[in-house]
Amino acid sequence: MIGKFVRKIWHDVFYAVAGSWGDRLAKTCAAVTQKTDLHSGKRDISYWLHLSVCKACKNYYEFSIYLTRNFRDVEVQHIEIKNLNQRLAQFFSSKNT
Amino acid sequence: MQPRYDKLLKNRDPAFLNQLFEETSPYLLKFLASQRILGSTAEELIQSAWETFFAKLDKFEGRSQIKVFVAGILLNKVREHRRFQKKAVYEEDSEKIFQQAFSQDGWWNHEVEDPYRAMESKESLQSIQDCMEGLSESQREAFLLREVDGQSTEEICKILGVNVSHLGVLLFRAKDKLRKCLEGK
Repeated sequence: MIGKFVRKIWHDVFYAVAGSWGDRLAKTCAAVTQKTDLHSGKRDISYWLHLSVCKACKNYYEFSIYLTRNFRDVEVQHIEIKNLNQRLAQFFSSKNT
Repeated sequence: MQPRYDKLLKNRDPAFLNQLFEETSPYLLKFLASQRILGSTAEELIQSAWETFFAKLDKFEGRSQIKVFVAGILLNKVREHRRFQKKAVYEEDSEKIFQQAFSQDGWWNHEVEDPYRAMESKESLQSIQDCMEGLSESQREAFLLREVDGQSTEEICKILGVNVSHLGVLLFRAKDKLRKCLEGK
């Protein structure tokens, strides 16, 4: 609750007072979510600061990491790669004859 | 495209093709395996994608990697395959759903709950793959391209033919659906 309150104050102060500068320092939840999803640009201190005080965005981030870790477990066997490459090589070399 | 590669591709230089297949096959197989497309079906789809690539070689200008270009073709093959198997899920307005998730000034309208329930399943990957059946084509493709090989945002946008903003929306909606599905398991 306190974290949410602090985040709101941080957001309101910077957007109201700092104007365009606030955008650099006080990211919105929508902006943080997009950064989590797109991996684009540098995840700077404002991103991590937002995650530290915003439980909702932290939950979203942790779930994203969980999904990524699971897909790292998808493995392709060496024999499958070998079989495929042999098939492709055979097929496309026959196209040359 | 570099003239040297252009000639090698057009002439289907065997040594060059072998190298090309060795570099791309692991990625393409993993992409299909993530969707539980395995074995001879995977081989057929990848071979078909390469056939299309060579048939349309004049359209490949070399601005993206060959792997990325072929991945785009493979996506279309997978779409056809899923439609044939009647597994396609209708497309929804992901943009609208993304906008509804946040207030006008960018806060969550409904806070994302602790995902512990979604993450506690022991058969995690299998559960995620089950839940992926509920994603629309574009959501699934965006999600897999991001997660399977960590393709850059720019490359994913090229493959899917979408802008960065829409890609963000697709990824958001994909994860939103996955989380809800996993929590229900």
